[in-house]
Amino acid sequence: MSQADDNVTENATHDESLVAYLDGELDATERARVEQRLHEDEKYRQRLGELQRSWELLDLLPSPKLSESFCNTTVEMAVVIADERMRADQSWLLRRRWLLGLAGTVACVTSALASYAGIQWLGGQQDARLLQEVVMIKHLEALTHGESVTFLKRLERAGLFTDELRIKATETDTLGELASKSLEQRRAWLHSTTTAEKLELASLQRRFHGRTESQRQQLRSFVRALLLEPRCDVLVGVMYRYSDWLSTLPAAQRFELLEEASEQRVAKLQRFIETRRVDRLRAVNVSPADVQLVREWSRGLMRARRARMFALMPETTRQHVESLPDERRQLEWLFRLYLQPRFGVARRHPELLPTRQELTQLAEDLSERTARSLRDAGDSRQQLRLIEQWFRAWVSRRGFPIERRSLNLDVLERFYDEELSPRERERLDRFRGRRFREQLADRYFNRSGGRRGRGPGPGGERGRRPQLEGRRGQRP
Amino acid sequence: MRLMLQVRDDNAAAFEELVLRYQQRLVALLGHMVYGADLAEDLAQEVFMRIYRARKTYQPAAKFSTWCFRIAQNVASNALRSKNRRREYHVAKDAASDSRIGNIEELAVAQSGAQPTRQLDRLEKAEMVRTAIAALGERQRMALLLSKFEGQSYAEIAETMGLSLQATKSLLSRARVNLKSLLEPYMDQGELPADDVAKL
Repeated sequence: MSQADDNVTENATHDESLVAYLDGELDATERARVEQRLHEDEKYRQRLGELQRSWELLDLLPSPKLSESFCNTTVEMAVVIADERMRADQSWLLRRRWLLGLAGTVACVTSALASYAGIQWLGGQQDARLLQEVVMIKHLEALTHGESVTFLKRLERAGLFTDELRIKATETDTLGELASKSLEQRRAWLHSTTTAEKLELASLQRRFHGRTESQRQQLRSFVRALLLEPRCDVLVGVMYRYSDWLSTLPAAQRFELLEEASEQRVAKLQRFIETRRVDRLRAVNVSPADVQLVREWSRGLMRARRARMFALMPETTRQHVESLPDERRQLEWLFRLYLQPRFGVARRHPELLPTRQELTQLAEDLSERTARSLRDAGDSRQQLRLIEQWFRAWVSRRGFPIERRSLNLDVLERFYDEELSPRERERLDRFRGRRFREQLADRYFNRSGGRRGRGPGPGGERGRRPQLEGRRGQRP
Repeated sequence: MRLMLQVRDDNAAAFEELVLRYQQRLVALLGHMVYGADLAEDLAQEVFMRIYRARKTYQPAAKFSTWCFRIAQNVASNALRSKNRRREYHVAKDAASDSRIGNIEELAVAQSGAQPTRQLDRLEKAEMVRTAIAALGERQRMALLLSKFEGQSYAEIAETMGLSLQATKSLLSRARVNLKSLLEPYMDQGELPADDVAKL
């Protein structure tokens, strides 16, 4: 072997070691050897740097954008494959029957008539079945996530997804309502849905029928048990909110969570929520203990203003508040409304603003630091504004739990006013009506990172995923 | 793996979840393998269809992702072969003999030469890197992408690509050295200082 060949082999070996070193794939002895040489040999160090720099340049590669319909189309294709297979099996059976039936014309005619009658009967049966199952089909996602009454009760007991301040369903086809309809009423409801809703239902129906009989049976039992629960409405609310929140998570996180057994999942959710909440509170410089004091104070504030607020709000809203199961929830709901710009405490009903005495009393209860920032905030309007920030950080508008189902104009209006830049507003103003709301809602979910359920997937966080960092932790 | 076992039991919802979980990763990987977002989506769909067709024979012996990316490698390999056949038919022979490294150099020189003081913008830089990746051999590219974007260990890459551990080590080393050589002129010109890269 020539000198040149030896050099080539030696270089290749060195490169292999360097690359394996960068990838964290060397054992301790080899790593120590590479590090020793790096310490002594400048050229070797230089080569490591070059390899590392070219590796980092890969981060510049843009991730191909996935079309919105990719998942649906793919699943549809799989359904088609399954259907084709089923049809092929059926067609084989039919051919066999046809050959057997060929023995006599009479038998064929009889068979054809029987088939026709059968199809008619089957059609009727299928129609009835659809109407019976439409409750499960319509709410398939929420029911799938809800799993069981026990799990929902566990969530509720843990105080998760129980925030019903805004859950008064705006949809007229909630689970309970739809379930209470007769088959005829369900048929009428089905006819009254829009084309888009029908298409969505059809897709859900395919998903429902794609499940095994035992899974479908499980869902049926779950719905029956849920509807029989004395506190069905509360549990259904918990289920919707949990399901909505789950769908805002990136797929990887969602699966990580769903793979846990239900009890561990509740504990994990609690930890997750608490961490997020503490982060948010830290961001607005207030402690959880102080926020609890603010919440208690807000209840007193609302108790004193309840009558006046009832007089100011529409009849249906008042009825909803009164329908809430206990006073504490009523007062919390009222406080949320009180903070809404649309209600207009500051502009239209200044008489409802907290009095100086009420604010002083709050400041006395709070920790010194929080009390100081409250006093420093300015007049009662500005102090209320600060309290609102604390409260919002507590009830978590960002990240959890997002009530997409009840995302109303107030939220969007506030987002438009307070969080968008003039340039963004200008861009949005080009849209009108529903399109405007859609665009605004899109920005709202995007701004909060992952609210839309399509956050950066594992591929989107390329090279920076924890797993990757962990494995490459040995890099210099 | 648990999800795939549900797919094996004809659970369509599980299949949908599986698609949601892997779609972005597959499209990204295939996009870098074959270049072209539309083609990458078609190929990713083909991967999912193969998975679905083979669901009944799925054996949870290996990690699902390893199996999935092995299928992706086969699909990408087929696509590249037919792409190359088409190219062979349409493209003149002399064009095929062009050095791809030269193309990158030309691109770098043209861009910096036309406006010497101009910093390459991110898109141009990305294009450079893309060209460099495309210039690597198919196996080197696959190993590199699995390592970089999927964070797979050498053992996992070896399993996905059906290689021995030592062969994987050598393959990755060659890939990294080639990548460095391809991007060297571009880095040497000082258009993209290391600090700049570190910030990206």
